[in-house]
Amino acid sequence: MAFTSEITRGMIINFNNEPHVLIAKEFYSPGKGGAFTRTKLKNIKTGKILNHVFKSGEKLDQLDIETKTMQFLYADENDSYFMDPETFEQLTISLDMIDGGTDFLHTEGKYIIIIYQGEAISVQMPAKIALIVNETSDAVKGNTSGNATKEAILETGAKVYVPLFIKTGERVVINTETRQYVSK
Amino acid sequence: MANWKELKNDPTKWDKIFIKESIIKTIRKHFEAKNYHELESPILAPSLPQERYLDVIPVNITDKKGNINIAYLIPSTERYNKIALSAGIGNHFVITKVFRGLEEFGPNHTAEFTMLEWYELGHNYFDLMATTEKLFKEIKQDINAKFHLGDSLEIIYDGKKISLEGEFPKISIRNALKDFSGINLEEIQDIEDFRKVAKEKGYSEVEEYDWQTIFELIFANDIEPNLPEDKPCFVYDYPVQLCPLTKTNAKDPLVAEKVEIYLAGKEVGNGYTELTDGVEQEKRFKIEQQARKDLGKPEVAFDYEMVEAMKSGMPEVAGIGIGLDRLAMIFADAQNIREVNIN
Repeated sequence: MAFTSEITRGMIINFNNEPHVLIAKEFYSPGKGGAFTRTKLKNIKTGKILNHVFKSGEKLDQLDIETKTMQFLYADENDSYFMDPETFEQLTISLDMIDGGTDFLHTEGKYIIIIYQGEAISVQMPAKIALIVNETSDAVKGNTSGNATKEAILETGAKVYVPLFIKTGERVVINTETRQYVSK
Repeated sequence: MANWKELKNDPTKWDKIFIKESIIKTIRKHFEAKNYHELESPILAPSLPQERYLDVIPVNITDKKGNINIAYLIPSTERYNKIALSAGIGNHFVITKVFRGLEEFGPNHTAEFTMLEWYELGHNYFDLMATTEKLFKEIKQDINAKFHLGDSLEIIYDGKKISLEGEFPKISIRNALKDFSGINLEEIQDIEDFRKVAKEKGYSEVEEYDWQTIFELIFANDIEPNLPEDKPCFVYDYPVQLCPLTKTNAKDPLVAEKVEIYLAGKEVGNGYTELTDGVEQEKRFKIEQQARKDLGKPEVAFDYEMVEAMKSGMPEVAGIGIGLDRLAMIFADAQNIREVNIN
């Protein structure tokens, strides 16, 4: 059992009698009915994502999981492949189970793999990741507002929005949860 | 990294703070053009409106003799607006910092935030909706002019488009409950009936929850995800159980004339046709005070002064509060409240 204040991204809980991985959570207090916790849950069996709001202080049924730190090797159309850098053991995880697919999977990156009942079910992304911009347009002169961004394609294939001054070939730091540009 | 360092490293990040500045300038311009007074509200209050779920921050003030007086950092300016209205200020607005104690802070929550409140004499909550619509459009036009963004009334927030063109949709709680949750407001008046409905929906722990909490869970899980995302929207006519400061709807006594504004899935404002009856206000505050005790919430000094001012004669008025940090976040496409402030 875990209180709503203790739950973290990647935690596996039992919700409606199905195992779900917690993708995101946010506390909020609308001032008219106490305090609540918004969550985004992904059904481990079906891959279906749902949003649910719990009353803060509610106890959630936490399921036992194992974690392993592994290196990302490559991905094909449906699956991603990881390797334990010590034992060289390999694991396959369906891309459906990874938030954002291959967008933030990089071969230099180490990832925490979540294993439930012997099966790899999800990959915990690092909070931030530095990736090289493969493709982006030249800055438009004169437009320097905080709202002004342009699309960029990163080395992993992820499409994100970056400030206008970012050039192709530069490394940018991206928040993997919000997909927002953080810094150069 | 501290946010001042981020600003120093990347001066374009100042633009998000300057968008908030632009919003505040537009608001002042809007209300000055309508001859509204700008009221300066005290930040420390000796007593506050009783609201069961509000987490207020008390402050100890020690005098020369060592006597300790308790004051509260205001959670909204409502007390001072209503006192000023009873004393005859008329149409007015306030922009100030307000404070809420919370158990957890996150990307949308900090202990202090900037609040706009305005009060329209002789008007009701539908007039507030009309003003809000106009104000949001002016805010966008001024941001467009200042940051050379053309003349589009479209905001992009978190990759999603929100259009401020035309009329903003209005959805009543009665219809929303029926359409999105299959619930009839009449059938959930009794707390036991409401608990039964909630249990059937799969909420197992409702036995100890009060009416307000169950409503909020159903609102958050069934209604909020169905609100339009491509436009701002007004949700109105809230159950009276949620509205201790609001006038009850004369045509439908189960609801009060309250409106909430939703923008990008976030609640950014909350307004009412105000309750003006001081006797009724005192009665409702006593109920809220008892509810705070029952919930184990810390005691807050009862606001006899506000009640007395209202009893002396408060004019018919509609009032609304809008969180300017959240509004700025959406107009500036910021994911964290820190990005629109220096901290």
